[in-house]
Order: sequence, then C-alpha cells, then structure tokens
Amino acid sequence: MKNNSIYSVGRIISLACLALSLSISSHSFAAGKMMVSQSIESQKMHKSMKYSIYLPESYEQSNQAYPVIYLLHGVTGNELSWVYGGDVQYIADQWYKASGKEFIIVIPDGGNYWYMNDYLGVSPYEDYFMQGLIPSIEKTYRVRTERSGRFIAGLSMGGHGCLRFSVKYPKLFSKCYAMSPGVFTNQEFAQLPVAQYKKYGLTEVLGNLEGQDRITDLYKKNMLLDMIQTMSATDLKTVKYFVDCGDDDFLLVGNMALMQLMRAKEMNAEFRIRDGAHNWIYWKESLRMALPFFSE
Amino acid sequence: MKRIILFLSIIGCSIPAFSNGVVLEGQTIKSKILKTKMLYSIYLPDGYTQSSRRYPVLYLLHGLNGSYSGWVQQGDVGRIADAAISSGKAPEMIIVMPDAKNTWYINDFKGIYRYEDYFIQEFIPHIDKTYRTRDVKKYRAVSGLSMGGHGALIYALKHPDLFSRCYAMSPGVFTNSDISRAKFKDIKRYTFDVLFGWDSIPGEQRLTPHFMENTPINIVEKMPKERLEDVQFYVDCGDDDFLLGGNFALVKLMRERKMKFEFRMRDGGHLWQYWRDALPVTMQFVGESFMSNR
Repeated sequence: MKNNSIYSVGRIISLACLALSLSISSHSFAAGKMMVSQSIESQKMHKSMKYSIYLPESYEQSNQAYPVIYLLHGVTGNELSWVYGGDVQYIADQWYKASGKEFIIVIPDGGNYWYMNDYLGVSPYEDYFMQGLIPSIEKTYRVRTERSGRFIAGLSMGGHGCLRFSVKYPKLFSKCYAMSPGVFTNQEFAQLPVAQYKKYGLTEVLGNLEGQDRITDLYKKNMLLDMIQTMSATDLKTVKYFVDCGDDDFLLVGNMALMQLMRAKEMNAEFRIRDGAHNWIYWKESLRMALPFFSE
Repeated sequence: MKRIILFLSIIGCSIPAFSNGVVLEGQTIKSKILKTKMLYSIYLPDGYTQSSRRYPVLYLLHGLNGSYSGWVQQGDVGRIADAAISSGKAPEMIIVMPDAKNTWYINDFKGIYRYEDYFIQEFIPHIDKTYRTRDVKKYRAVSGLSMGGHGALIYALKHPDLFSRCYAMSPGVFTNSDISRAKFKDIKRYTFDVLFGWDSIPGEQRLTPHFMENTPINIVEKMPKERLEDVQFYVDCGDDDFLLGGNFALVKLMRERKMKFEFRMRDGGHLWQYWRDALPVTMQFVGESFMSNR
C-alpha cells in the first residue's frame, strides 16, 4: 500500500474503531435486562422456587405494563436453561430491534414436575404455578394481567406444559406456542422403557408404573391427548395455538397425533414441521418464530 | 476509455445472470399402449438450443382434473425454474410435465387404460430419445402435487431403479380406513370406481390386491428391507391441507421402516400458491442428487 493512499493504515484502524463503537452503542441501546435465579417462597412446594426474568429495554424508564410470556423448559432443565441454552435475551433484543415489540419473559424452574400436581400431592407444581408464581410475578413486575397480554410457550416437557395449561385455563392465556412438545400416544407412553420413564421424572409425577398400568385416571386427567378429548369445544377454541416439531425429532409421532386431534377438534392452531431434531438449534429458531406470533 | 470500461463492468456486474429457459406446451407422443396421442409440456433450460450438453430430468406431475398445462399456467414453471437456476439454488435441468387425465398415474384394475405402463415403457424412453437427457437413475427425479404426489411416490417406490429422488407435494395419500369409510360420491369424484372397480363395493372389500399394490402406504408396508433406501424422499404438506391425516400416516410408517426422508409442514392449504413455493425447494432437493459425486 502506498503512503499517499487515502486508505492509510491509520485511517482504516480509526474507521474500524468508529464502526465498532457504533455497533456496540446501537446494541446496548436495544438491550433488555436478564435477572437470573430470583426466588419465591412457595408454601405449596414447601421450599423456595426459582425463576429468571427478562425485562425489556424501556422497562426502567417507563411506568407501562408489558405483555408477559411464560417460557417453560424441558426435562432436566431449570430457570437457567432458556437463558444460556436458548439465548433468550439476545433473541428478544433482536426482535425488539426489528419490530419495536417488547415483552417481559418469565422462565420458571419447572424441575421434572411436568408442570402438573404429582400423584402423592407432595409437589403440586400446577397449584404453585397458578396460585404462587403468576400472582407473585403480577405483584412484583409491571406485567399485563388480562389474558390478551399473557402468553405461554415451552419446549419438550415445557411444550406439553404450556399446552396443558392453555387447554385447562383458557381464560388465563390468549396464545400458546409449543416447541417439540413432549406428547406421547398412550401406546408410546405405555411402552416407554423404564430407564427413560425414570429419567423424565415420571416416576415421581405419575407413579412408579409399567406398561398399560401407567394409563391411570391421573394420567388421563393430566396428559394432553386425553385432556383434549374431554374438554368442552368452547374451551378448546378459546386459545390460539402454534405447534412446531422437527422432522427428525423422536417425538414426531406423538406430535402428529396431537396435530391430528387438534384439527379434528377444530382448535385454532398453526402447525409446522421444520427441518431439525430435539435440540437448542431448533428451539432458538422456534423462539424467533414465537415472538412474532405473540406480537400479532 | 478506462472510465468507460469501468462503467461497463459495473453495469455488467449489477445485472444478475438471468436465465431464459423455454417452455414447449402441448408436445405430442403416439402411445401404442394407450392407443392414442398423448400430450406433455417440457421446460428446456437456458442454453439448451445453443449447447450440445445433456441435462438431468425432473418429471413434474399434475393433480386431479389437471393437465399438461397446469404446471405451465398455474404453476408458473418457466419463471420459477429460471429463477431457481439463475440464483444458483438448483442446477440446470429439463422439466417434463406429462398429461395423466385422472388416472392417478397407475394402470386400471382391468388393464384397459394402462397409464403406468405407458409412462414407464413409452413416455420416459420417448423423452430420453427426443431430448438430450442424462438417462440414468442418478439424473432422473420425480415430483408432483396431490394426485401427482401420489404418482411420484408410486413411481419412486415401484421403480427405484429409474429415480434417485422423489418430492411429494401435498400427496393424495389415504389410509386403508379412510378408503373403507369413503362415500361413493367421493370415490366417483376421485375416479376410484373406474381405477379399482369399486362401483358398489363397500368397506374393506375395497382393499383389493390391485389397490394394495398401487397405494404408497401399502407399498411401503410391504417393501423389502434392502430396498428401503433406494430412493430419497421428501414429503411436504400444508398445515391446513385436508390430506394432513393421510400424510401423517405415511410419514409415521416411513419412519417406522427407517426410510431416508425429509418431511415439512408449512403454512398453507391445498393450493397452487403452496405448490409454487414448493417448486424451487423441489429443484434444490433433486438438484443435490444431480450435483453429487455418488
């Protein structure tokens, strides 16, 4: 490079610095705040329960109430899964930059409770969620409290959880986005290998059972396909649903059964089968699709 | 002068490499098997007439009550194929669009109107003789919409030595229980009465050997293990499509049998918009075979 060129090394470096500082400042401009592992004392669960919460960029300067998304994790996850595995802050910031839409996102620790009350009544997670978590969030943060401003989403076990909450409490949620939901046909559920059944936490939630014995009354009341069969047509049509599953996902068969049932019940639902499997690459893309769905 | 050259080169760069294939609509072939003249349309990629090279071939099948014109007019095949090729999404290929009436691309049960025999024994050889095709499995693929999706699946399943890849768009796939419960009105509408001899046959009596040999689900069920990976499949069906149940049943079975396939469900119904969107993806999918080493 000649010395008299206008593109001197010094200039290039200073231009690069300028560009870098611009990109940093524009990014920090649209950054929400992620508060990890907050605590709620739960009488129902007899212990302190954790959650993480994303507050949008404008939260601290404003006094407005924001729409809220409850975002549920999968088996063996916790309140940090979506934070670190799911890049939730980055994706929510990006969506805000692109659309100007802001949300509060609550990521509760759901243990391996399947977001339901267990058969022994020791860990009534559903009761905690409805009577402890939601009221506590609504008291502590400026979230919208009418159903049109309350959404729910989740992956795998959390996909099952968000669907069963929406089917059971249609007056609470207006939209539900299920990612690779952990849905099994009764036949698949009866045939789950014991090791898998245990690993999924189902022994504690539904009882240490094998084969057809697993299809108990409690199962039928709490597992999605049977719940949908028994709910009233009006309740089923109240919430807007989005179900999304990868073509290589091991849960594809259960998901196809779910979609077919939702279609038969004429539920208000979008279905997608995209390229992919049961992993964070897939769910991060699902979250990128869920935010526009909740923004409509 | 330098400036002019610079100016011209900038112009040259800014114009995208544009592809201008030609569509010949309504070409004819005399069929001995069907004892009649048959029609088809064909897309020849840009440069076909100037070059001496050979091209891979995609057979693209129409749906119920369609014709050799459907993909040309509603399907916009010329413009979409040009765009897929010029953008580099898919390699250059010939696209052949036959006319199948409402035959579901199979022989009827009496052997009077043997469309499948015509397609395999006369039509493909005619195309390979008339145009500069690459006439081997690796460079031949089949796709189609609805009834044509059924046809594409049937051909790939029954003639895996002829096709390397198959992309079924909203394929007309039904379960045996759908068929057993179908109303006569629908059976007539689909011309199954003529194809399978179901004039007044109810219920499971419809599941005749001829039917079982000509429906994707029943063929996959019976397929010998060693042939399951002969062809790579892609099934694509809209979330509002009335054929969703049959498509799920097919996919479930393909997975159980550990076949190689892609499956997508996009937003949409049983509509040309869905199939126009599927066409570039089809060309990309079959193009992967056309471009691969193996």
